[in-house]
Amino acid sequence: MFKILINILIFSLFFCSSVSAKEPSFASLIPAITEIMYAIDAQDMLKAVSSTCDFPQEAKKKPVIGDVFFINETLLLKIKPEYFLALDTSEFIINKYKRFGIKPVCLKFSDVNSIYDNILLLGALTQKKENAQKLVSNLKEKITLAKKSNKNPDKKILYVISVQPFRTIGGKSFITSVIEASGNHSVTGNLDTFYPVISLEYVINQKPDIVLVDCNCSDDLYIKKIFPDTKIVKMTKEQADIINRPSVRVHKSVEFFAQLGNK
Amino acid sequence: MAYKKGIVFTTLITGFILSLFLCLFYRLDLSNGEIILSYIRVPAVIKAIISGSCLSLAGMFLQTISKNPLADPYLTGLSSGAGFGIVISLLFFNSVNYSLFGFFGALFAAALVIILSGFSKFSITKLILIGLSVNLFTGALISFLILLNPLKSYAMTLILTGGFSSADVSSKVLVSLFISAIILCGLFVPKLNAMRLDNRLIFNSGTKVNLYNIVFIILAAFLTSISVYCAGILGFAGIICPLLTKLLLGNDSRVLFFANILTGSTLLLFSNFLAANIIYPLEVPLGVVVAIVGVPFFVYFLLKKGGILNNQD
Repeated sequence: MFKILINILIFSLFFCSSVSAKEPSFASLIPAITEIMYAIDAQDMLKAVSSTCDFPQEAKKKPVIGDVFFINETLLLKIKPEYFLALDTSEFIINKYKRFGIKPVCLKFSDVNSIYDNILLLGALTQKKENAQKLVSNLKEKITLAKKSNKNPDKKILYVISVQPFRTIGGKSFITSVIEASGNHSVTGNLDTFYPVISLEYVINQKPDIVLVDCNCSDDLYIKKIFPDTKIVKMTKEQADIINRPSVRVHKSVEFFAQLGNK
Repeated sequence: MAYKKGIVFTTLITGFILSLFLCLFYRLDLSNGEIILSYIRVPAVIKAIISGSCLSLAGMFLQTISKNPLADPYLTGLSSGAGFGIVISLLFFNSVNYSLFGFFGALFAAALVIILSGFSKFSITKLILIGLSVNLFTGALISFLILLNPLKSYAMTLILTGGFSSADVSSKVLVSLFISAIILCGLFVPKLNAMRLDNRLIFNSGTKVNLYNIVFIILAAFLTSISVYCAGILGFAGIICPLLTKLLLGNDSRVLFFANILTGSTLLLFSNFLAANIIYPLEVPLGVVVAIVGVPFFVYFLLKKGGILNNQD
């Protein structure tokens, strides 16, 4: 009887230690977070991604649980990750999975510093702290170099998301912070909002030096008419992807903005 | 009565001119004045006048022939047809010509509803119910398409709320369409006075009820499609303007024709001015402002003179 009890105790201790050593599992709803998971070498813990997670290429091979609007709940509950990673704006969507034991982790990307903070947070959650710290210091170095490469700083940049209606970036968008990190300024950075629909007259009167147009915006001719003497740059899809994702490729984004005035 | 009508018309014209000046010259930076006027303010003013007039007239026609003050220019499935056209254009053609798609979408939906209502066994009730069905069906398709495309969903939702920002619309085409519509309306408007009577009375007077019902519905669909072409889907103006003018000026369609053009234009001009300036430099969706401006006025007149609506029918 005593032997049986000892065996049960040993088995329980072994089971507990194996459970505590078990790697945590994650599902990501946001491409930027997926990129960070790969960059800190935590991709194996990532059990599912969203349909918009397309970088790096290997991420496409992971099971897809849908997107912010449509989550494939059957698949999610089958995979049952320990953590569900999303943006703070999606908190109300993923909070409901708490009752299935899936912990929501809602990250806020408000500026370049918040990217560093989120990398470190994911490093802590995935037990890859060292990788995360290395990545952050690497990024900081690259961003400093990118800023130094800006030969004509203090350019006024207008970032156009769409013309009909006219949407741009506000001060709360992390892209404004990326532009500032490059040594330039966003003409709409003073607006206390994210991606506002704004008066076209206002931005004309701000007299931007460079108008940067999103790749999905197809009103190039109209923009040329209203900004006849301003440099207009149209982003490629790849550039737009990098700029719109607050992730580990943020240094490329800073480089891009720093080079805008040089070209 | 003529004296009262004179005062009402003078007020409407003054309001129109004031709104026009505000839209054109308020806070105009002269250093960029030429660009701002030619590419932003003048096109917006043209669109506001055309869209307001078209919605008001379409509402007047439909409210008169259906003898229902709640009749809306989008009754014949037009709003969802227009919305469907716009969404298809934005999703599959990445098109700047979404207004044109909206215009044809609206016309197609109206044609479908009128044909399904049947020319020979036509009735307004049947038309309203088929219009409602088309609206529900196409509305569901629009929601589905928007949800399937999260990257464009915000832009699509904004565009569907209506506004004058569409840069692709040619003012020449718009003005030509508007003038032809107004001439056609002018030809048929006198007949509208008979249409507000009971159908049996109209029949006894020798007027072909169904024929004129269909003519006015086609005219209303054409007018609303023009409005969709320049401003997207703007609700509400098409209901309140005809009712307001009726409360103020009585039932003579010839008088109401001009009054509706003025009221609709003024409402949209003033709303456009507010939308652009109320939280400048941010812009408020035009459809939201139209409702905020229009509803208090409308409720005030309804409380004050609402009895007239019952007495005059």
